[in-house]
Amino acid sequence: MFKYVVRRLLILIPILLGVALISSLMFYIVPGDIVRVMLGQHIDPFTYANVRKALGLDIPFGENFLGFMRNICRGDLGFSYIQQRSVNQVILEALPVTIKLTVVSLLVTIIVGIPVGILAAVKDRRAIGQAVNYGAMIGFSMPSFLLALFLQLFFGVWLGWFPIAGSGRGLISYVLPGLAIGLPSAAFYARVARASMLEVLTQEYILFATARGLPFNRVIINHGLRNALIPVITQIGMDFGMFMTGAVLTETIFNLPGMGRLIFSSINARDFPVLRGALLFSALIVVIVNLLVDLSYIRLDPRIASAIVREGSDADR
Amino acid sequence: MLTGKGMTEINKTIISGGVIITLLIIVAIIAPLISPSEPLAQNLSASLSSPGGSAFFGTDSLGRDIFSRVVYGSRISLTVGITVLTLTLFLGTFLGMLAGYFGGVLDSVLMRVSDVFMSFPPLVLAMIVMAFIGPGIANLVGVLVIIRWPQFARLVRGQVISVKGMAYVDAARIAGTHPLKIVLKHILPNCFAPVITYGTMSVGAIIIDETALSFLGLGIQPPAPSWGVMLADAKNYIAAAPWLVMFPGLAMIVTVLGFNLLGDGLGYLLNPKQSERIEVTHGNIKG
Amino acid sequence: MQKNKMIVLHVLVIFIISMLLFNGCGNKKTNSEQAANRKQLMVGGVLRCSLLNDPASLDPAGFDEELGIEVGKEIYEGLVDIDFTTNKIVPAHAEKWDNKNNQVFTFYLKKGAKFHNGKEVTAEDFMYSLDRVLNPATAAKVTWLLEPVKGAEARLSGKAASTEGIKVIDKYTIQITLDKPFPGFLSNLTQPGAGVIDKDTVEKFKGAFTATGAKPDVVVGSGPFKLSQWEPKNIIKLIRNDDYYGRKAYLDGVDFRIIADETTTLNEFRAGNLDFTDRVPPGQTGLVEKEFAGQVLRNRMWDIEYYGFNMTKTPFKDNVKLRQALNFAINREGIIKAVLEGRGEPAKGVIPPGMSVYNKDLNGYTYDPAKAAALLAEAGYPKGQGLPELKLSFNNNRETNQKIAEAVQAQLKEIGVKIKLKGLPLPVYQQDVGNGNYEMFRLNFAADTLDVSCLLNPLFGSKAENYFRYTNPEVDKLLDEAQTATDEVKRMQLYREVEQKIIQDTPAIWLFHSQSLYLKGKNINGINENPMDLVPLSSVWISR
Repeated sequence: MFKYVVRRLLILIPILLGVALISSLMFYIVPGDIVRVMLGQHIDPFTYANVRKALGLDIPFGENFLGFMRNICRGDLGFSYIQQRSVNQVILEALPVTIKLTVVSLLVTIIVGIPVGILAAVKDRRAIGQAVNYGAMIGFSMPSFLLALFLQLFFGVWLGWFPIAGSGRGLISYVLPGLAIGLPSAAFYARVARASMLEVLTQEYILFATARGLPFNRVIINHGLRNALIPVITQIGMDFGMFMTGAVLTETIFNLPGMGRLIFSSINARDFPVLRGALLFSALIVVIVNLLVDLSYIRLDPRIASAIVREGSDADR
Repeated sequence: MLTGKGMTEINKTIISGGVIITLLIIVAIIAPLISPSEPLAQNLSASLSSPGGSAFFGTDSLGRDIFSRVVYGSRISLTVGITVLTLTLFLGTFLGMLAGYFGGVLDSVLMRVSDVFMSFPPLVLAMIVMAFIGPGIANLVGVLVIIRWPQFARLVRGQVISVKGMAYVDAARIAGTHPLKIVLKHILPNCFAPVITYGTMSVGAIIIDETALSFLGLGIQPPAPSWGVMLADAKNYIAAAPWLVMFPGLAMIVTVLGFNLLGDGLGYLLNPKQSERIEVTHGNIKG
Repeated sequence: MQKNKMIVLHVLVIFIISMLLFNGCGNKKTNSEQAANRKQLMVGGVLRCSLLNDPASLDPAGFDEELGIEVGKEIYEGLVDIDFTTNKIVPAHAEKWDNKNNQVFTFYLKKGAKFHNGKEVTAEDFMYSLDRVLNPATAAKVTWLLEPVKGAEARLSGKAASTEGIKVIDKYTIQITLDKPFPGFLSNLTQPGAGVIDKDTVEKFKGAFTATGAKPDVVVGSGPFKLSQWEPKNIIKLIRNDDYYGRKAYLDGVDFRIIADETTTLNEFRAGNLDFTDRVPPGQTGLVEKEFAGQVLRNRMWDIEYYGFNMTKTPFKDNVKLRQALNFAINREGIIKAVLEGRGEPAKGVIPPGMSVYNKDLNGYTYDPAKAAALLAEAGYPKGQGLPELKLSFNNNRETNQKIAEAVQAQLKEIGVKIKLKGLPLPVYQQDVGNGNYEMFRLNFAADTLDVSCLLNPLFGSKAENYFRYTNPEVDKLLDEAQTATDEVKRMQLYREVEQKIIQDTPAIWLFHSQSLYLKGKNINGINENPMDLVPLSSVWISR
């Protein structure tokens, strides 16, 4: 078990290295002079030379990269010359917004998605089950930015129930963006939950329990639900990382100053240090969350735990 | 007694999906015949007219007919979707096969590389590359392939590994059959089912990716009538001219729905055991 | 009984009438009280507006773009200012000045005016501030404001350690001498870039002063507002300077929220979270004017939007007929109506209407496709044959830029000219333009001061940073003459001649002069039309 964790941690490193490498390459493949692109055409020779030196553009790539990695170990993700402050600062500013948005989106996904999925499974032969299933299919086919635009218009402008931009009004600012991200996701999970639930419901032990005379609802809740939800929960856990880091479009549309918008605006502004730092940070989060999910997965279901550990030791060969 | 999907239900799904897609393809092919105007033709004095009259879907701010643009836009979406799928299919399958069959170092390297690609937030990698190499349809296709191949590779690799362990493959290997023949004759056919299912559902996701990138200005460039470009145009006119958002939006939803239905149906058809069914994630449903 | 009732009735009537009378008198007496109350009501409140982005810095030396200027004009103050109701130069820190021949200006500063940190503003501070702009180490972007000063060139090229033409006479007197007489110089000094800064603070904080997100104790000016908070990508907060030497602002403060999107900005205004915006996205003008009737001002701007030609490249080089042809092919009214929703005026020439020098009889460009086709043939490309595909570069961060480009593309296609659109993000666009990597480029040049030289010289003078790479010695000569001419009428004639020559030669396709929209909340007062977009927020008040 411990070996497994250590092995997973070790695998983390090459992945992060890979991300760091690719992000650092950016500085060199940009067409044109990167310092002038970042700071404008007319910067004075002093500043130009200083920034060039600070970015390490004149020393060999390997050395520069090692220096960057050393900084990372010290917790320093770089410095933005465009904003004149450290990348750490920029990211720390954006982080709380993204965390809040992720939490709200996840809540929407879970609260809407799972019950809907279960309903669809339980009432599979009835019309409502089919309707819900197709509804989920449609929801799943709708991109979140389209939904974001509609929500913004309908609930934000016409009805005025929710704020449509900025993070200024506290938690309520996250309702619409959370719905925009969460609903299509909920549709997806509804289908996963439904499939999982359907499979469980056809198992013999369910049949057995109903035959014993237990009320159907209790059967579902006590026996079916737990097993059905395992794949859903693990998937959600793994997607937590994706939620955190990918909400570029929604954040842009709702003007939430989170990591997603940070990445997009730093691409547009050609603020490479910030971009690199943000990417690395995102990758770190994704990888760590994946690991945590896998670990908790093991505790949840001992059968899976032994399977994973076995698979792990297989890979040794 | 609760059941899974019956054959009729599977057929319903496949047929509805298939019908939608076929209609879409037909529309794309006969686009010039059914469009009242050229998609790029402007008519400034008819700017932002609401649907009706000669413009079924209304016009945009430059007086271009939305119906014609949506119809021509289907060409772009389908072309990008199918091209990217084909390329990703080949690349992913090839690499997945190698990794799965030969295992060892090759496998580890491939897995790590795909891990790296997959730990970039979805679409972000696409955005960065497009921002640097410049917009355009060729670049777009290339980038979309780059972000999608890891999932295919993993899928194929998984299948290969599970098939590899089967008795008849061992038998073939002991008998001295050339690895290539083993792969082609025994392993590959077993991969078809999940790959086709996954592939079909991926097309929807690819189309969404293209639309998202074009929406951000990093994909197809205006004035080309990609639905993403049209949505970007429409963003500002939501209150004044909601038809600018509605029609391209609906077109997108219907298209993606079509592929999803087809893929879903195929999934049930080809993978009767529910537990082996695979679900596809969009690059961007998380945002 | 009846009698009693009558008496009661009478008394009641008398009582009521006298009550009414007293109320009337009472009203008259408390009218002045009410006026005083109203004045009290006027003071206070925070104006909530927005910016599309953070200014790169709040260092006046960097104020060549609207973001910095919009915030900076409230924080910093210079020698003189513009009164927008009369369009005349009025005193600011300088309470009076001598003007010898439009060449030697002696300014007498108000005594006791203070910086936001309490220090008094003296002539030394002005000397430091102005010289700093010309100091090459500052890399100031507003050097053009002070280029007419004697010794400016030497200072800028690093040959001199100080500016010869700026002299401190005594603690409250500063004298500026120009190389040549230039009546428009005072206009230059009204610009926020010529505002006074505190030498000690700037020297102490150096980099922190020019950084995004600079702190209030670093951004020290002397204007009616001071910086109280700057959270990049989020908000810039200003609060009233209660020690301001002039009339204090009515507002308690101003909040500039950073909202990157025009649609979102408008939606925020609708939701009641913003008090003022000049960002009405395309498509919403009609709606907004209906929805907020009485709260919308159309503001004619003194600017010119154009697609310039790179005159060093073929086919533009030496082919004036081609350039003229392209100008006649553009349906400016159509574009303004469709894309800008009527918010603009077709540009016949360069100078926008409203400026004193504007020439309504200018022989300029109109929409004449037949003439365009004829000129195109004369240029050697009948129906566009033989003409290569031309590239049009522009910055695509504004939605309308994209649309206008598409419209122009379609219109040029009608006479057979094909252009390819290259929409780029701003930094990349700036880089391309800086490198000369462009054939046609989009720019919008706005008048920064009252004097038309601020438009014509930077655009067309061959010494200036003119991206057309256009040189015309005749134009240069006329510009120089006009710069120093002291007779108003003569100056106007010369500038009009310059414009006519430029239009003939036409190094660009002249598109339109824009009209911005000022949208203000019902209870916001004091915001008027302002062709340079420099609404002084110290004159704004919120009624309840």
